[in-house]
Amino acid sequence: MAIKRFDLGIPDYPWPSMEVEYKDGKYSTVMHVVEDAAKPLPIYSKWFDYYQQMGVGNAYEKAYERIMGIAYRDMPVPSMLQYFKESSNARTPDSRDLLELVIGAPGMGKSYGAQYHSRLRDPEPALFFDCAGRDSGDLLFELVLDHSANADIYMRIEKRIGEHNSGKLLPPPLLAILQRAELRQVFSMDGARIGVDWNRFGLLPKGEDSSDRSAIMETARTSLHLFATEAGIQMNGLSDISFKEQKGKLILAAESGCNCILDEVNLAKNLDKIKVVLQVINGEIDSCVIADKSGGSYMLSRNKIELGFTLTANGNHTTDGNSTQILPESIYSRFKNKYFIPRPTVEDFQHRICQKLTGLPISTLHHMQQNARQTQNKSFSKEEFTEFLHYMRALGTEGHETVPAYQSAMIDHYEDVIEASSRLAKLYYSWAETLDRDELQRKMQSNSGSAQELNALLMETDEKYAKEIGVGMRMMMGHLSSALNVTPETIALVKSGGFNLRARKLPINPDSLSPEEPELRFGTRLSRIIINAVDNTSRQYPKPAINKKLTELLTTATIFPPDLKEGKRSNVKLLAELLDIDVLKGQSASQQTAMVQRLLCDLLRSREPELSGNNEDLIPLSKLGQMLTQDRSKAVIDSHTAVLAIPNLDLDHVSDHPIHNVIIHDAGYQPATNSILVVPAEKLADHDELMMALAIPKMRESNLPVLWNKSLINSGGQGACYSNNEEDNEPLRMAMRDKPQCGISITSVTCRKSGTEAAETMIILIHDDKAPHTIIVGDSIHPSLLRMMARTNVTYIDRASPTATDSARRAIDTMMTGKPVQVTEDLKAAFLMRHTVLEDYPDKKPTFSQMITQPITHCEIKNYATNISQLGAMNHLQRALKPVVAMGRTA
Amino acid sequence: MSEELSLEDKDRLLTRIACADLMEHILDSFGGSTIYAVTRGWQITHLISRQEMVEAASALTFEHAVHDAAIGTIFVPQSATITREIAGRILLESGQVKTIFWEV
Repeated sequence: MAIKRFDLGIPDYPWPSMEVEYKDGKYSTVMHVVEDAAKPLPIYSKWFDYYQQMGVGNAYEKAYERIMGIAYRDMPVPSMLQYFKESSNARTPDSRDLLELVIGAPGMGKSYGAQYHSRLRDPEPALFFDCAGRDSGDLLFELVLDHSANADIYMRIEKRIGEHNSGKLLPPPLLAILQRAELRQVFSMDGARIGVDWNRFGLLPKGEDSSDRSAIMETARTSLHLFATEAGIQMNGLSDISFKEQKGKLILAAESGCNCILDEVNLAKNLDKIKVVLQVINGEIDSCVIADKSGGSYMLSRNKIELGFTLTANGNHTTDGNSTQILPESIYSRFKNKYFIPRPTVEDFQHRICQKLTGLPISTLHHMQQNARQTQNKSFSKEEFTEFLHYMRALGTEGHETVPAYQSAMIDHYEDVIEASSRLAKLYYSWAETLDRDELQRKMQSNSGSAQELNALLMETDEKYAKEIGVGMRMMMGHLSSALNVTPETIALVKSGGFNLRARKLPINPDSLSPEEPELRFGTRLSRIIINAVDNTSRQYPKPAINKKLTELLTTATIFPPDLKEGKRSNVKLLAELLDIDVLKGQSASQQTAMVQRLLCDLLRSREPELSGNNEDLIPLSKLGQMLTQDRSKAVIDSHTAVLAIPNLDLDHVSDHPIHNVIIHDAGYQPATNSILVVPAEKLADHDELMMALAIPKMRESNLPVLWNKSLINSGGQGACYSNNEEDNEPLRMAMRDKPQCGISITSVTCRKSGTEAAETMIILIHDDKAPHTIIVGDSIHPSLLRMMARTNVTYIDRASPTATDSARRAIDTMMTGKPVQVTEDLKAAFLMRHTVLEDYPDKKPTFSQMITQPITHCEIKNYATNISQLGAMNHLQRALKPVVAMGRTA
Repeated sequence: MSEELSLEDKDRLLTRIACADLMEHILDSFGGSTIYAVTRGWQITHLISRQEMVEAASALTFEHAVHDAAIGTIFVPQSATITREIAGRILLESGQVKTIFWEV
């Protein structure tokens, strides 16, 4: 593949680098940037060639976008930037410095740094070799399982294991064979699932010496043969499982011109075996002959080394762990480029947290922008920076990567992420320091900190404990990964509904659960994970001094709230609050409009899978924004009638009128005509459109109040007149939302079943003004509406779900927690003002939750949502709503 | 209403919706790659039929897919002989960023 030069560190796209400064007798490391069109940081890359071979027209642009995107997104931590700059300068096509040795603390991202170089330069990944306990000769030639010979045997083994994964389980004796030490690297278990990786044949679990691979392979062969015969797979004998010798990764990388990474090189065995190859790579000699394991030989000459090849050997500081050894001098001296990565800083921790949460090192990018010349006296707008971050997150990802939705949501709240990541970074950094004996002793010697506290910490800390806990970058990344996984949350016992002592039937699981966005409760989950980790590794160990110190750190990081006894309540947000990202909260008007646009378009497409066109074609943002911000203060026309603004899901009109008006008209008794109104179902508003109007927070805010009206008092509902005894009025107040004492109101709205021309359906709403919390019962709706409701204190109950009644009972119980029993009775009475329970209900005594979820009630006094597209059509409405049923009542 | 759109445009949009539907439940993450737990449905069928994603039933095919820069999304069926340990090792050793849909 041909190599082309691309530049980082040019005007408009500065590239950060850390430089050492000496000022006032002190060294410090500060961030600089490369920003020079004439002297940028060169990246010689194969990406242009890749796109050209793919037939992409604008291959150069595509390649530059890809490289630039990777460069900023996956940027190494600040402490590694100097290494990156120097290593990049050394990676030129005419360079003879193809060997580099990178030494640093474990978990710093040394392998990541080498892979990063590779990603920028090569569409093919680097060849990775984990040296721990391995014989270095394997880098040149290695003995591997020849699974292409007698391929059907391996296919049948895999097939049998695939069947196990699909439910036809292997008997325990066969499982036991797969779990033998010599096969454990080949067959891995993940719950009931078994994986097979033939490339790991002859390797032992990490930490165990695999240097005599041929001996292990023999044992593994016997075990595999036993498994196959026990599983009924016919074999002629052990010889059916054969081995072959193939070129090792170092030779393959050199010949193909890709990067080779030797990880944990100072744990490798017999490094001398590769010395002669290093000499060829270095240009000390032109060629060498390597003997393979079967008596043959191979000549490696310098002209066989393809352009683009680099060997990066990563090693840990010799003070880390017990099993490290210094590289033999003959090997060490061959590496002309040696890079020593400094200890990680708080900024490094923060950089990695931001990358994990947003896919971008936003703390570093923000720091660069904030301290740049043009912004020193003029702050940049939040919106502009957010847009820039989204641009960078997506740059060059097309066809390669899909941006996870949680990362986009986190970018929208980048200020909270920066603040939270700063606190978390300090926590993990200090946690690592607390368990670091060298650091504690240094503090003792320099008299920094309380001698008593340091002594106590030193007493409780030792290398074994620190290694066991493994605090540092890796632990931090593990916690962040775990918190992204939406898991069941616990609630306090006092919030639990307890056992249903009369229930004798297990509920049916609904077919589909309403999934939750990872970012919604991310902060809460992460805080819980950190608290548990601190508790498990210090209080329960027990390590009282460490626990005391870590508790202080948790409080400083605002994972625990500050001690309120010591002062007034702080306005500082807790970490959980900062990282529980709700895309519906704190959005600007334009963000909310964009969100509504996305939602509407998704709904339209879910109804019409063949529908195409981009969102802006379907629903122009400008029109939507205008309509969403309309003055709704005159929504209530009279005691019978109010106007609702709802999204329009009519494909023929949505682009012109993304929002339209629906008239809520109570069909109660009409004194003038001694009748009630009946509206034909075809004139009713669509159920799903109404649901959207109730799901989108901004629309719900203005729409919810108008769903109740005061016409019941004239329309003949049960008990629909105020009594002198105020207590008796509570149900009526609830039904009309006329300032009920308990704050809870109930109503129902009749609308048209979605997807039908003229079928009626009903929505029931219970709203608690004090919580605020709304329960809505209706037909099945789109999952995105469900999620939106769930996160904005609306409990939606799909009456088609087999668990609808149970869900309603739980929702009502939650709403009634702490309220007198009478409130539920009043609520039921309020409901019955519009509805009657059908007589043919089997046990005659339906519960309230059954009443609102099952077809056992009949709505007598309907609250119609009538589909009139413009407010000016009120006259038309009056004509349409001809009184058709005489009530036979006196006015 | 918008003009009639090409089949290619329609496919692209359906792909976007299918991906969004599938990227709900994060199971694991390795480096920059994320593994999502999914159940089989029209989304999987659509993505495979449009060659937007490849199916990997073994560690070998999974490794090939991870190493291929033209493949961004990989589907691992329930019957696949791959565990998250294997997938994680392959992803971490390659340093590539992929989206993995893991049938559960």
